[in-house]
Amino acid sequence: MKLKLMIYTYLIICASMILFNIVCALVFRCRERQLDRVSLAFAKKIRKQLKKKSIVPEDIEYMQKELRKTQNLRAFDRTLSTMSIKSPKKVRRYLDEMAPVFIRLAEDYGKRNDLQAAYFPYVIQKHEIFKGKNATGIITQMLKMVRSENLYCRENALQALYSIGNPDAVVKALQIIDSSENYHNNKMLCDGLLKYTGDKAKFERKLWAAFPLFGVNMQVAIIDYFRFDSEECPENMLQIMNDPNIDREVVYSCIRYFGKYPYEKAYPYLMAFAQSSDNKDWACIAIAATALAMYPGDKTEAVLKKLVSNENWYVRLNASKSLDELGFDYISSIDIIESDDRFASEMMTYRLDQKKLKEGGEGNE
Amino acid sequence: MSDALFEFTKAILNGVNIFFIIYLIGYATFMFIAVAIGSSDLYRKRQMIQLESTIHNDYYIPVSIIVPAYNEEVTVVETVKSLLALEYTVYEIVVIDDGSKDRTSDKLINAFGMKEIRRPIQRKISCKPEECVYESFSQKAPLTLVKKKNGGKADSLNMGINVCRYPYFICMDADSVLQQDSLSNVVKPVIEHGDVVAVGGAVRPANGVELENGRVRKFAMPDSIIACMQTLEYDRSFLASRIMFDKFNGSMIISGAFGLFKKDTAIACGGYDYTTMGEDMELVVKLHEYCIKNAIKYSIRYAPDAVCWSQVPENLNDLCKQRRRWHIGLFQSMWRHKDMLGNPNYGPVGIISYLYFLIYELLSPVIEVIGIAVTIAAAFVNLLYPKYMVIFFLTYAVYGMVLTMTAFFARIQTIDLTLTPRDALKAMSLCLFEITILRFIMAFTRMTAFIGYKKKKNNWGRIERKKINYDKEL
Repeated sequence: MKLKLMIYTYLIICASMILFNIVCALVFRCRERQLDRVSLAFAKKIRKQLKKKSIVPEDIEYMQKELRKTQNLRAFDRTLSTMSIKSPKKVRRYLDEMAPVFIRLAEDYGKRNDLQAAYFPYVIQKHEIFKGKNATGIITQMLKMVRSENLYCRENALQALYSIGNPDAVVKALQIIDSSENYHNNKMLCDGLLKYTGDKAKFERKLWAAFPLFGVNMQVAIIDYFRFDSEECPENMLQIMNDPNIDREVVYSCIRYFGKYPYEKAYPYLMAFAQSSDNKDWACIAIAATALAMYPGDKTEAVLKKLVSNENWYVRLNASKSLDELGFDYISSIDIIESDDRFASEMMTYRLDQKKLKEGGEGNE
Repeated sequence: MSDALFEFTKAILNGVNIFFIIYLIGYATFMFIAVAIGSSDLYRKRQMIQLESTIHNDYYIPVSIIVPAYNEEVTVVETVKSLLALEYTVYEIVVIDDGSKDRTSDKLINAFGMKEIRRPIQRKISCKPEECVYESFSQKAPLTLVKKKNGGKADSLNMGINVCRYPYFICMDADSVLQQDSLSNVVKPVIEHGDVVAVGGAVRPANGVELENGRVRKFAMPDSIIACMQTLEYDRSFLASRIMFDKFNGSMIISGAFGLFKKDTAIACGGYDYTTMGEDMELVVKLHEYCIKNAIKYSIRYAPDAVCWSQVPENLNDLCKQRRRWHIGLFQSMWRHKDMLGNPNYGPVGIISYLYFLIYELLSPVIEVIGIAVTIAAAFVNLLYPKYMVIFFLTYAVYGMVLTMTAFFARIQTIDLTLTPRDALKAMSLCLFEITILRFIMAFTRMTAFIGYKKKKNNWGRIERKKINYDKEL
């Protein structure tokens, strides 16, 4: 009897699995076909609406009702993406007039599951629906989404805020992320900040003002953002680099900044980092050795030549790279290559051989 | 006396039968839960892509790809070409020629215009010395070739770790092809969670598949029946158990054919162990052990959408050799880390994963072969009802078949592959053979794996190599 029961249980599970397979296959096919159908219908409707001088309240009501369905929002996104290639101005005007629809939809999508909630800000940022607009309702909703445990909800909401271009809202969002326990990759943050669409000068002033309040991860992301974006803040950078209370990771980012944008006042500090006797902080020495490539001169060369003999492999590697970038060749490096220090000699020779190989092979490391 | 002996034998056979049935029910339940979780996870991932819950940039994590090669002259150039076609911005390729006796290095040097260079190598992990190093910068990604003395796959991977320059490295086989989006997908867990020390990719049999620019141009079931059955087996394994173990950070295996590791942590736990045949499993178990003992917050993830296409053996002899090697590797790792068994300090890895691998992987060949033998013996001496037992085993086979097909079709549907009706029929008919005949042949092979295993130390486990259907103009 027990054996029979077991056999029946297995067979029922088998039948339900087969049913599951069939249902999944059908749902996938139908969903994609439905999306194509809805996209076509939306395209017709939008074209009709675009022909009018301005959008009427009925159009707004209609869209607000239709776009509550995520599948319809996908179709809307797809349609607008296609149409904006042909007539970007018309689509821009259309989106400006349709903005109230999204304000009303924001709260609704904010209550959905993570996947659907994350999709809504994606559409906002992709089509820059609120770019440069005073969109308090949307900003409030996006700031709520930034608190989500789901990475994509947070990231898409941040992207939407970058596209709106309100500096206070972005700084507030960064503060929320910084104070939460959810991990947010700092390179993603840095990359996102570079997409900010509003008044950059105003935004950067706000960022500097809030800088001391942020944690290490966020501070590194902000310094990296400035490194990729602007050479106009060396004084702020210098001040942070010399703050004894600042985390070493932030100091490393500052050194990298001065390795990209040479600044005379930073030079003595970089030299001091490079000549540090504390080899435990070899990362700092290695990064400073790289940065010094932007500060040519006898003093720099002397320090770098000494660093090629450092006991740390990465310090030797970076120092040899910098000497190479400062124009050292086989002849001017002869004292290193023929020195008793085998490690220094090998590293310098390798660097110069590699340069020769790259030049010959049109490499792009 | 003879009655007492009969009763005693009856009791033993009954006991074994009950144990075997409980064992099968346990496995069936595990497979059901795993396939259900795996399928729903794949469908959710597909929905995530549709609703743009994904990372849109690919340059957050620079990656070094290490390709250990031994006598791979047939496939190595195609493999590197496929790596150069990957859609990723910052990566390097490091090929380690482990003292090949064929023209593996020459083929690479000629194909990519590589030049010898005196490169200092920082030895963070011990490995056999290098003979020479070649580099090329004329490709999309820097390419390095290290020729070294023969030391086995683990030793080559350790050399690769010493040579590579980025903070994360990927290990792969020289006869495998990474799908064009595999790098972006394998690094996703690292970007999503800050504590990831390793990520396993999905390995799928390349036999019968045509690839173009790293994309699947034509997906078909392989001609070879043995390869075909492995396609089904891989889909079941990579969809079901790996996704389930991933849910509680309990993965104990990342395939040597495709896995991503955080270099610092891999070095801290000693890199690959060249004294074991299962260096891939050993590294993952060591990572668990190292992080737990040092109270480091960590996770080991599985990325089902990071796909590597790998050649699987097409004849039974090669397949048996491969499975013997895997089984010995499994035994070595489990024996070395036996203190993990049921140890609450190791959390779910010790309590669930280790126990699963012990019962349903390491001991399963013995249990299954003895179970079948005892059942047949019991039927012969009229100790059980043959009719019900036959129905039970048939039902079990159909059940296994349905679960395998669920896993197989979930994969097909979620990665937009199309299957011809002929191939679908082929898959359905072969999966019954896979779950019954192949499984028991493999059980017997694994059970006898230890016969003569010491002689195979540092063996690369050769299987017959064929050129992969890879079509990319550089």
